[in-house]
Amino acid sequence: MKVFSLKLKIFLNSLASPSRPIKSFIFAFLGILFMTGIYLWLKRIFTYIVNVPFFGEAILIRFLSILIFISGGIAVLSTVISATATIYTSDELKMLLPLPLSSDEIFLAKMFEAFIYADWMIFLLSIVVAFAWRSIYEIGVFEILFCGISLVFFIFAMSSIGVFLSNILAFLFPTRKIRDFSVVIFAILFGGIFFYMKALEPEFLLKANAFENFLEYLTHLKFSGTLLSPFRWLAMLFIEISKGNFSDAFVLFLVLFLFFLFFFSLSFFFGSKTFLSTTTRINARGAGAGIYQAKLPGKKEKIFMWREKVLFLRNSEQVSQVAILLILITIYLVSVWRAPVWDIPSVKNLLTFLNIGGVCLILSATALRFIFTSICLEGRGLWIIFSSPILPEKILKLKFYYFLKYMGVSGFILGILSGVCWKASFEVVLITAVITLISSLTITSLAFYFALSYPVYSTTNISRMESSYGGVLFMISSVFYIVFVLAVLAYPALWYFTGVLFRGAVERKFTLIFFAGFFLISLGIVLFLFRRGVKIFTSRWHRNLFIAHQ
Amino acid sequence: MIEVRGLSHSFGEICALDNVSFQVHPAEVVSILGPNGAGKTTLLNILAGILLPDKGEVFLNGIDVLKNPYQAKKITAYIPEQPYLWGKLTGLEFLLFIKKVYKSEIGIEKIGEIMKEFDIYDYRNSLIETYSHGIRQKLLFLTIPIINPKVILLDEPLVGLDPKATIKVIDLIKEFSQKQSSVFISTHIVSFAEKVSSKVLIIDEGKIILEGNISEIKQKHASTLEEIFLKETQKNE
Ligand SMILES: Nc1ncnc2c1ncn2[C@@H]1O[C@H](COP(=O)(O)OP(=O)(O)O)[C@@H](O)[C@H]1O
Ligand SMILES: [Mg+2]
Repeated sequence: MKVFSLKLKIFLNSLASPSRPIKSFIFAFLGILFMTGIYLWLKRIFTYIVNVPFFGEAILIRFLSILIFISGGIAVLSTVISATATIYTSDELKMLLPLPLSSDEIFLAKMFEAFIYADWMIFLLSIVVAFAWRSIYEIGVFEILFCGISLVFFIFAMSSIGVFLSNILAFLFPTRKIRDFSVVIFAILFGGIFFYMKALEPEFLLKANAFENFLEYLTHLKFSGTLLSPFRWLAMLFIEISKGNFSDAFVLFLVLFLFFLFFFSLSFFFGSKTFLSTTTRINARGAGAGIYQAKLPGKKEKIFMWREKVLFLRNSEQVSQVAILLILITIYLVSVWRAPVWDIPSVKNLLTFLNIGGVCLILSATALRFIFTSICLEGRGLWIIFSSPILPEKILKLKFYYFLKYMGVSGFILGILSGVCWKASFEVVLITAVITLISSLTITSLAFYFALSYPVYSTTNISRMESSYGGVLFMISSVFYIVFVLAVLAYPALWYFTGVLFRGAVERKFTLIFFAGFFLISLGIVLFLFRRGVKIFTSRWHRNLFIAHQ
Repeated sequence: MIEVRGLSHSFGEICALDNVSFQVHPAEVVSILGPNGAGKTTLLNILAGILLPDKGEVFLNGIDVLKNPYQAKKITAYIPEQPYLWGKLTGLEFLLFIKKVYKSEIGIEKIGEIMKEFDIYDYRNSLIETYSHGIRQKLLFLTIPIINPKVILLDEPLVGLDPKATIKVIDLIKEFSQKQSSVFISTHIVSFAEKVSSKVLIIDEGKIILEGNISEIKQKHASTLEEIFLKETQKNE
């Protein structure tokens, strides 16, 4: 309890001093806009499903089960990914461990911290779902609270599973050697994804160009019909309580609570028993570090980028993340590949086009994970750069080019690969690749800008950097950018798919203008954001030194 | 040569430095003494060109740090208080990095030699994250002979050092002051200041409250430096 109140106090203190009120306001505004979009979309689907004669409710349960399944999956995965850093390697432990607290208590607090960090997004979005839900069932505050509490238990049960998995990982592989760690993460991910493909058959969804097909998909699914699945329990609980069947809902709640209790205790007992020994083993640094041979480049500027690469490649956490990312991309491509191919080429090409959005989202997630955090990770070592006879602007510029290079190449390759997987025509693949290339540059500069404006230096925990103010702001703005790209390109796409493009000269001219406009706007964004970001960063650093040298 | 004129800086409400002026001549070692929070680290950060002050001027060997930081940093070695180093580099890699960045002429054999002198040669190929605090500190001191600076800025240099390393550090300071470098040290350890420096400044709450030659000050007040320090810094409370 002492640890909890301490953490709560730290959190409240950080809330009490919002440093940039106007920006917080914009942030809140964008967030609300984003949530409103989801709200409207959900509302439409809910009302549509409920109004299906006879089967409405059954389909609703399935739809809810899928939503819940996805949220649960995200809860498990994000907990696995972030829990080790939160529980075993956080800097805070140096302060907490010497205090007269039992290790059980510290572990419990750390476990909840991991829960909150992994799940806050889900809880935020579930508020939106609740609002949309109210458009089909008139429910009161009590019911909503009841559903909310059940959801919290469910999600925490999933996160307990995540903590349990990461405890076992940390217990088995405390040395954090690149190989061991990523192999296990590989295995877990592959298992999870295999299950996901088997259970949800997402490629079936691709057939759905109308709600009828979507309904067919839901009916088709056998998985969510299983009586013994916690996803279904929660979905049924929501429906029963919305219809006013409190006794049924209460039974379901008890079942869910027991489910939670089981996994929570399992995870807590295993974790708290092994907490101290694992922490010492994980943080032990010793002779086993190995011998590294120094091979440095000659030029003064190049050496900073050499440092960038070395620090990255020797960090097992980073390398295992690259592995995860590669797996996710493969899955994306495979599911595209397995998608039913239709004989109508225009539909195929249209999908390739929408695919740009998907590729851009992958690129945004990559930028968040590697570019945003790279600037945050510089934090405590920045004094070296700022006291060296080198212009910090120059280093930032080199860093920017370095990321532009990698992101541009990834964007181009991803565009081509996904186009090829869609079996689209040559021109469309090429156009897609060029667009994803340009978008990847813009996304890079967005990540750079937000990292320079809102860096997180107070922690080395990467998932905390990602879910920070700047990180979330970056994700939101990059989603807006992607929507903008798709909107700008909608017209030329339409022309193309109605078969006019590449035939008439007039349309060709217009298309060229469109692409030139898109290109110029993107270029403008890239240059502007880079310059602004560097300026904000250096001036703020020089004025305040946002961190001590600790 | 370090020249500081009318330096003031505040962090929001907190006034960390208030109209500070002083000089450190070549071959001179000056210590700045002051209790925690007096503003020593802030002052050194400004001298190193890391922090921009609200007001005032700083010249290192005649180069304006605020207007021409690039040139000033070239001739300066700065060792902050408990600094963070990139843990995934090895000690040797870090020193070579510094050599490249400062375009130092020093040869790699010489670097090996000075590493042996400071007893950290055996650690040269292990990652810095495996080093203890003292070894990190020693590694940082080795950047001084590599940079071969005209100005040396040290912030609480003795924290975490064993007696043998302390002697090495004192030798290093003396060696460079003989080479006409200006050395400026922040510390709260009075005996260390007395041992290495000819002049002291006493700072409290951002103001320099006493300045002069150690022997002269002692004569004037007829007591030890320690007593003078305690007396002067308590006046303000
Ligand atoms: N980045 C900062 N933001 C706000 N206040 C700071 C910052 N750095 C130092 N201070 C304040 O400035 C004063 C001087 O600090 P410092 O120079 O670190 O003192 P010293 O090194 O002598 O112990 C202290 O009151 C400290 O709290
Ligand atoms: Mg200090």
